[in-house]
Amino acid sequence: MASVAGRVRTDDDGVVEWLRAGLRERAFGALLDRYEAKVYRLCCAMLRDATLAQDVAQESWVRVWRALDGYDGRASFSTWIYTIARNRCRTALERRRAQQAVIDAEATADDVAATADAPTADDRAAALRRLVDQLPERYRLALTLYYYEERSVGEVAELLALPEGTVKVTLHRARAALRGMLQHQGMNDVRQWLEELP
Amino acid sequence: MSDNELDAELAQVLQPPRVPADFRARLTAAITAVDAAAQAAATARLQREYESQCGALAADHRRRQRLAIAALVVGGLLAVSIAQALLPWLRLGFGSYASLVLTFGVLAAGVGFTLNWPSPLVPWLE
Repeated sequence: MASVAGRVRTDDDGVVEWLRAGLRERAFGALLDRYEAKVYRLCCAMLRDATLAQDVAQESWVRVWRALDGYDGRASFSTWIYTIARNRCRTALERRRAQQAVIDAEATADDVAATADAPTADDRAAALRRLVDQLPERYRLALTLYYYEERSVGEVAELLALPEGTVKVTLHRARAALRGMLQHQGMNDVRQWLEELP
Repeated sequence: MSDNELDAELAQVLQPPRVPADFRARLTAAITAVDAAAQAAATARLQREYESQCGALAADHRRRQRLAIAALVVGGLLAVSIAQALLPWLRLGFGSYASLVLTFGVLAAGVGFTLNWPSPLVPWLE
């Protein structure tokens, strides 16, 4: 863990050096190489809409580009960039909520009604995904990012700016909640599902 | 259902999304557009500042011009009045040279006034 932190610090220092040398595009390119996929996955997890996630990720990177000269080094680049991305996602969510509050409410009611029945073998993955979507937001986000980031609690903690212990507890509660929902939906027999999965 | 089974199922369902292939091209285009817009805004702002400063300078110049003209008119009238008052007295002392003495006296007073009077009445000497 310490070596990883040290490597990140060194990488950040390299980018800072490029910025000091006026090599803004090179510094931005290095940051893009390092964090592009993570920022995109964070946006996907928060927004649940690939098109909107792409737009918001792009917006976040444009903000990073514009603010790069003013980067003061108080936080690591990853923390800084993830904070920008999270804030852009929250703004996008608020905008979407304000625009489609009534429509969303109706759609959610329809989804709940549709998932009340036990899923067929054909849509079991979609059904599980829908159950994940029905988890409380903090559970859903932590759980989604955990699998997006190859089961790295540390990465999830950094993306969400939470302590690792909090993430572990949240993941545990998310799994428990999901297990409860599976039992309630009569979808507890995962073995059968796994055999049928492609 | 074990934790491992649930974990495996979730790992299959929650596959990490891949960054779209055209993401960088779109981002580059967006950054170029933003930079161009920022440059245009900066140019417009500088242009506005320049025009504002030019306007302020022109207004100041006009104000000083008006003050200078007013000073010249008032000074001329004052000089004529003083000359008319002094001429009889000078004739007693200088005879036919009175006009010449008065002319030089007025010129000397004018030059002294011009050199010593503070701006903005005489802006060309600043």
